Amino acid sequence: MAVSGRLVLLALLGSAAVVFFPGAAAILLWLAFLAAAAGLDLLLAASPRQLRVERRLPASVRLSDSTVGTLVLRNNGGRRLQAMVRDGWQPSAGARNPQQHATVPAGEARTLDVRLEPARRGILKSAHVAVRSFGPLGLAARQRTLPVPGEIRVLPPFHSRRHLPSRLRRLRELDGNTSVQLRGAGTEFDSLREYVRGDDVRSIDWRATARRRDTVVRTWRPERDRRVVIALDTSRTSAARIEDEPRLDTGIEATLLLAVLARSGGDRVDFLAFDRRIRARVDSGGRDNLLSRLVTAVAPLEPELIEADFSLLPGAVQAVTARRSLVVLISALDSGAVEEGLVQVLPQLLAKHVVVVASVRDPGLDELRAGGGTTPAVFRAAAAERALLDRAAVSAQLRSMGAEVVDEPPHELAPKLADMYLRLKATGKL
Amino acid sequence: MSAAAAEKANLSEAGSRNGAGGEEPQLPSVRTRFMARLRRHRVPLLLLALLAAVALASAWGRTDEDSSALSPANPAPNGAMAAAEILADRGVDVQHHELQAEARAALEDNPGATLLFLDPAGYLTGEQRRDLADAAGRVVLVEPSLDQLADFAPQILSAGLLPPAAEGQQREAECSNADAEAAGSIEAGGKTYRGPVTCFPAPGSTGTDAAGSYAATEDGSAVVLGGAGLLANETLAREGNAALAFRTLGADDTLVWYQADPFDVPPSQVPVDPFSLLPPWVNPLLFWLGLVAALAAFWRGRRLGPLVEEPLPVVVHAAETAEGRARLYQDSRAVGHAAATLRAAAMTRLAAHLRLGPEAGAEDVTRAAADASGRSYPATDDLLNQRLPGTGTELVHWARDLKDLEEEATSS
Repeated sequence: MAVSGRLVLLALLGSAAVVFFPGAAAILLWLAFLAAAAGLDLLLAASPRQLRVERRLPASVRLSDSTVGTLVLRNNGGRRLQAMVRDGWQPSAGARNPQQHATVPAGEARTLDVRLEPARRGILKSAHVAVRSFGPLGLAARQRTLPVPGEIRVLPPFHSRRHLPSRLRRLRELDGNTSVQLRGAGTEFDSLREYVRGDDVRSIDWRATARRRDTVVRTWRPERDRRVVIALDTSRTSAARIEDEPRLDTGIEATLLLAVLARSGGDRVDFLAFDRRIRARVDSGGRDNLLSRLVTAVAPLEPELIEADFSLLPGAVQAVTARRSLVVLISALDSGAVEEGLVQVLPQLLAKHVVVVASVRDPGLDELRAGGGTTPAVFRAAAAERALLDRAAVSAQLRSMGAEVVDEPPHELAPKLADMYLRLKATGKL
Repeated sequence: MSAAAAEKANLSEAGSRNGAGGEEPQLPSVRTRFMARLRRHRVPLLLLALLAAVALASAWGRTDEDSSALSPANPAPNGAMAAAEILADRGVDVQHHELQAEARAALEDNPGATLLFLDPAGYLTGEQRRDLADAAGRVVLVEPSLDQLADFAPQILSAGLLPPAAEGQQREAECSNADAEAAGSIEAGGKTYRGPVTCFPAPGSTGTDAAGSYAATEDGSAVVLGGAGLLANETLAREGNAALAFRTLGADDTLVWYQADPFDVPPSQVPVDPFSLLPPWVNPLLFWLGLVAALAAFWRGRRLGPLVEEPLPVVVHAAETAEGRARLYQDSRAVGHAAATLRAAAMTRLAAHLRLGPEAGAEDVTRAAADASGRSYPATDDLLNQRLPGTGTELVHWARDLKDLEEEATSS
C-alpha cells in the first residue's frame, strides 16, 4: 500500500476544520473521512496481482551504445490499471527512465520502453518490476513487487577497431609479395609472375623462365591456416587499474583486435581466459562470426582476486591443438607472479610453440620516475625505477628463454600486439 | 639480453652495499634525537608549563576562609574577626549564621539575644526581615537600607551619606547615650541616620534635627551604626570605635551575627503559563499538522520496489606497489638503496642510448657518458661512481645532477 500527494493535501485541508471546530470531534471525523476515502480508493484499484509482465530485451549491447528494454504489461484483471511502474535495473545499467506511468485497460496489454545506457561491461541484471496501482481517486495505491528477472549482456566496446584497417592493409601487402626472402622456409608457393626490377634474383624460377620468353619469378604468400591461441589472464594482476582501465579490459581490446586480424589473415583463432581454471573458451571450429562469439564470451569476465595457475596452460593449449601454433599470453609482467608461475612452464610451451607475452605497462611509473626536487619525490622516483628495472629484468629473462615480449602502455598494447603478429607472420615464424 | 640483466643486477647490488655502508654512522644518538624533539616542540611545552604553574598557584592560594565583609571569620582588613573574637573572649556567645531560618532559630533559643543584622545586598524580603525582627530582642543594624530601617526600627530615618569632607574624620559623641559617651569619639564613615537618640553628628548638622553616625531608639532596642568601619578589623582600634562596637554588640549574653546569604532569596512566584494565552485551536491544529507530517513522510518515504544493489568491482591502482615501496624507503631512510637504484637505472638507459651493448661495464658507461655530455671524465666519474649521497638533502641534489647528466648525454 502507498498513498499519494493528494491524500496529504486532503489531510492538510482538514486543518481548516480543526481551526474552526477545535476539539477531538473534528480530528476524529476528518480522520474517518480520510480513511474512508483511502479505503474506497484501495478497494477500487486494479490488483497488481492480475498483472503479467514480460520483458523484451536485446541479447547484447556494446558498451558506449544505448538500447531499449521493453516491458509488456498485460492486465488480466477486470479493472483499468493506473499505475506507476519501476523497472529495477542495477545502477550501472544506466536506465534513463526506469520509473514510468502506465495505463492499461482491463484485458489489454501495453508496452513500456526503458532506455538503457550501460556504464559497465558484463552481465547487467534487473530482478523485479515494482507496480503501484492507484485507485480512481488517485489517493491511495496497492503496491507489489513482481519478480521478472532479466539480464543484458554488455559487450566490450572494441575501441581498438580503429587500428584494424591499417593492419588489414599491411596484411594484404604481405600477400603475394616476395618479402619472404628465405626460400621455402615455411612459406607457401603462391603463383608465378613476371620479373620486375627489385625482385630478389634468387626467386627467379628458371624452369618457368625457360618455357617462356620473359623472366619469371615465384611469389610466395604467408602461410595460412596457422593456429593462434590467445590466453587471457584474469587473475589478481588483471584487476590493477592503469589509466582508469583494468588490465583485463585492455587485454580484451588487444584480444579482439588480434583475433579479427588473424582471422582475416586466414589463421584459426582459439581463445581462452584462465586464472586457476578456464573461465571462458572460444574455439576456431564454430560456424558463425568469430568476433561475435568472442565478445559474447569475454563480456562476463571479471578479474578474480586469486593467483593465476600458469601450469594449466600447456595442457589447455594441447587440448586446443596438437600442432605448432602461436600462443599469445596476455598477462602482467609483475616480477613475483611471473617468476613463480610463468617462467616454470614457459620452456614446455616454447618447445612446441611460438610464445608472445603481452603486458600493459603503467605510464604512471614513468611519471613517478621523472619526479624529483623533494626527498619523498626522489624516493618515489627510486621506487618507480626499481619497478621498471624489475620489469626489464623479467622481460629480458623471458626473451632469453625465447619468448617475444610486448610491453606497452594501455592505448598502445592492442596495435603493438597486432604489429608483433604481422611481423611474425611476415618472417614466416608462425 | 641476459648479460644486460646481470649487469643491472650487479650495479644495483653494488649500489645497495655502498648505500648501506655509508648510512650507518648517520644515525643520530638517542640523546640528540630527544633534544631535537624537545627543541621542535618548545613553544607548546612552555605554554603547558605556564598553564600548570597558574593552576598550581591558584589552587595554593585558595583557602576555605570567609572573605565577605564584616564576617566574624574573616581576618582581612574588611572582616570583623577581631571584634568577634574579643567579644567571645569577654564571655559573649557569638553565633554566626548565614541562613535566615538558622538565625531565627538561634534567636528563639536565646530570648533577649542581640541580633546583628548585615544584609548590604538586600537579599531578604520584607517578610523575612519582619520575621527576624519579631524574634529578636535587640537589633543592631550596620548601614541599613530604607526598607531594612522600616522593618527593624521605624523611628530611625536615613539621612543620606556622610559629607565626603567628614569621611574618616574624628567625631565627638555630643549626645547623652551611655555607649556613645563611653566611646567619646569615633572615626566616622558611611551613612548618617536620624533617630530619637542621635550621636556623632555630621559636621554642620546640629540641634534637635541632627543626623549622625549612631542612632538608637529611646529604649535602645534598635541601634543603627552608620559605618562598617566601626567593626572592621582595619579600623576597629582607631579612636573610640572599639568601645562603641563592644558596648553596642556585647550588651547581652548572646550575639546572633547574621549575614544574609543568596540562599535566603525566596523562590520567585510561579509565572503565568504562556500557553494559556493561546487560542484554543492551536493545540488541536499542532496535533493535526503532526499527523499530516507523518502522512507526508509515509507518502515520500514509501519506496517503489526494493533497493537494487550494484556488484562493485575492486579498484586496484597499478602504481600502488611502487608508492608503497617509496614509503618503505623513506621510513627506513634507505638513501643508499634509493641512490643505487637511480644510478643503476640511469646507467642502463645511458648504456642503451649510447649503444654500448650488454658487455659494457660501469667504467665504459661513465667514459661514454662523459664524451656524450661534453663533461670531463673525472666530474662524470665523481657523479656516477664516487659521490653517492648519504642524507636526504644530498640525495635530492644528487638525483637532480644525475638527471641533468642523463639529459645532456642523451640529447645530442
